[in-house]
Amino acid sequence: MRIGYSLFTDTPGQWRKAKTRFLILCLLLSCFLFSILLRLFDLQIRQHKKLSASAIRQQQKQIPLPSRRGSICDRNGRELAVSLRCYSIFAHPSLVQDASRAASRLADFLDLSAREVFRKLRSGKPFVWIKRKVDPEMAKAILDSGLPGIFAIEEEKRYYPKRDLGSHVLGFVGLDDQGLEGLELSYDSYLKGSHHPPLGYCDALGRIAFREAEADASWGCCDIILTLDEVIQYIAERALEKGVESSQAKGGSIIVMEPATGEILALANRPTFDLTRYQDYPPAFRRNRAISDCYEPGSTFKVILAAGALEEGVVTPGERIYCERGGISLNGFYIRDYKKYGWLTFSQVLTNSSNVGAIKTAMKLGKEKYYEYIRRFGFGEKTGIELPGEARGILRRPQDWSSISLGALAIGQEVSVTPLQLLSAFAAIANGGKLMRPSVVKCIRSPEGERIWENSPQVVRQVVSPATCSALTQILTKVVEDGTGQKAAVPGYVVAGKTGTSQKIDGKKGAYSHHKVVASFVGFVPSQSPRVAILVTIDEPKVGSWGGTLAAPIFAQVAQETMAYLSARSGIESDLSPGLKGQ
Amino acid sequence: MAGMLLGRHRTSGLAVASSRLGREGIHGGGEVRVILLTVAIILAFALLYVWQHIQVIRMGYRVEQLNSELSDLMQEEKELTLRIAQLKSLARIEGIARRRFGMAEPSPSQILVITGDKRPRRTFR
Repeated sequence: MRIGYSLFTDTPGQWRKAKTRFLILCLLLSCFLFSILLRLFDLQIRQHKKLSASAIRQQQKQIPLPSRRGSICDRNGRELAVSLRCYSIFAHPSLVQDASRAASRLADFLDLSAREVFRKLRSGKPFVWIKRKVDPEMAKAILDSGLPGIFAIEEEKRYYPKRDLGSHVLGFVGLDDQGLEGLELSYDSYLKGSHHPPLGYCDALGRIAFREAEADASWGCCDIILTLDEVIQYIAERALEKGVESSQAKGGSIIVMEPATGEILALANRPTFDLTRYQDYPPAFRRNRAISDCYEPGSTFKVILAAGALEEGVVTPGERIYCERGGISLNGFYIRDYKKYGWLTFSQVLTNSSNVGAIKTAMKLGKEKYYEYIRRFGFGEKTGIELPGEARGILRRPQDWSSISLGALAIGQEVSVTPLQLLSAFAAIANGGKLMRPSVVKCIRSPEGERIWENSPQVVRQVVSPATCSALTQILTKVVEDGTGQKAAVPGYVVAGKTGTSQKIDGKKGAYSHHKVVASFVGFVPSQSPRVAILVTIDEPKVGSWGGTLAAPIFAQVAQETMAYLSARSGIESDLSPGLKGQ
Repeated sequence: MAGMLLGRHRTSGLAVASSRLGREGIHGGGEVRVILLTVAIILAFALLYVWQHIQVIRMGYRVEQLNSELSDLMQEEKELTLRIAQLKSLARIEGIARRRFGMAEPSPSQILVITGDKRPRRTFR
């Protein structure tokens, strides 16, 4: 008895049939398995790339993060530029069923022209933007309305809570969040961080189950902390606005600097622009005049000459110079003084801003030495500030000078400087002869709040000796006490400074204009151990034209309010416990 | 024995398989228990392994939910920070001080400068 097949067959014939059936079954199973193998080959090898990519698309998605561009804050951590999440509305016109209805609804939501939206939806393009950067609530309302073919994508919007405060320093970003001007441009890579938001791995329902382990470390946008102080910036902006308005000037600039460190506390320009609507202003309004516009400094430049002359010992403050009773002839060109001066001490030459006295001093110093000191004070080269668009100024080499160039340079003509260069030079005198590199960025802070870079004061060079600076400071103090800069006096403080009124070149005539001038005042306060150096320039004023009457009072206002603020602040800081200081 | 009957031979009617299994059941009861225990242990480990995975996924969902909440809160914090910065704008504060409270800058005659070595002590905070 064959028990092995006794359960299925009773006879050998049946056994054969069973065997045949078994073989057919095996064959069918083999065919089935082979077809599976073929399908596996197709899926795993032939379509590997396509299906892998498809799987990655389904399984991975970018994790939305609260903000992708760092903030810009003033030196005390007050926000000047912040980014927030927003949405941009777009359409796939081919999926829009009723364009007329969709256009009407979208126009209502987004305050747009229905005709314009309809035109976009009927444009035949596969993709059209309806409106960029709308509030999340608005985007939600649009999506909830269930219009087919209308979608929203997450983006970011840059906000400037102080509107036009420090606009030329901050700069602005474009629609795609790329820096276009100012610090937004020069520190774009730090502010926007990595372009790879973290990836999450999703389940079949699209829910994120895991995220990349290194995601947080690789992604990160930094905050920029500036040297600007919001309060001092506001003081400068307000004083400049008032000064430009009252003198009906074309423009103007104010820079406030800490002489010991070169840190810029305020930088204001007029005309200015609203950062939230920068595209509505002409490029001239957006230009940072304080670093990119060059002008002939006029009498303020006599201080550079004086520094060189005192350092070289060609004059002493008490040395008497004959000022030719009102004018001097230089190879056919007659240069006048404001008043007819006779004998003046060198100190009085600066106090009264005598052109004749300055020209005679320059002749004593010689053109090579004078050029050397001009260069040592940093003219003719960029200061190295972190802002884009800085100009070098115009300074010709002595071999290119004409027969009257030395005289012209003595009174601040035939040389073009930026307001920042001139202030840096004055700050060097206030700082015992050390020329500092000006800076507007104090530190860069990582998303975790750590300072990843900190600006330390950089000495460019020792320009003149501390003794020369001390002598020059005394002379500059006299300028404010008894000379042309009396309106720059600040009650309670001793101010050192110099006025300047320079004629501008009339492009049509090719000669110096009698009407177009730049009125300026540059100085520092307190004259001993100065805390701030301030420069005020007023471009083409129509009411008034002298640095001493136009720019000096603005200087006084800025200096007074700044010193009151700094004194109050240092008082508050001295009352704070050590742990709270510097926060 | 009847309980162990699995099949009966069609012609002879002998309960061949059942009697064989019955004999093995008598003598191999311990082996079955060992096999069952082994299967149970393997099953338990498999279940533990699956449970672990499920827990990890569940925790992943939880972590993501918390991350999402954190992200929303950070966004809200930024919005509030922006609002505070707007409200603390000096131009706005000056405007309110002038319009609503009638404040004005002091004239030069109203300013008294106290000179001396000692800084006047503040009497209020």
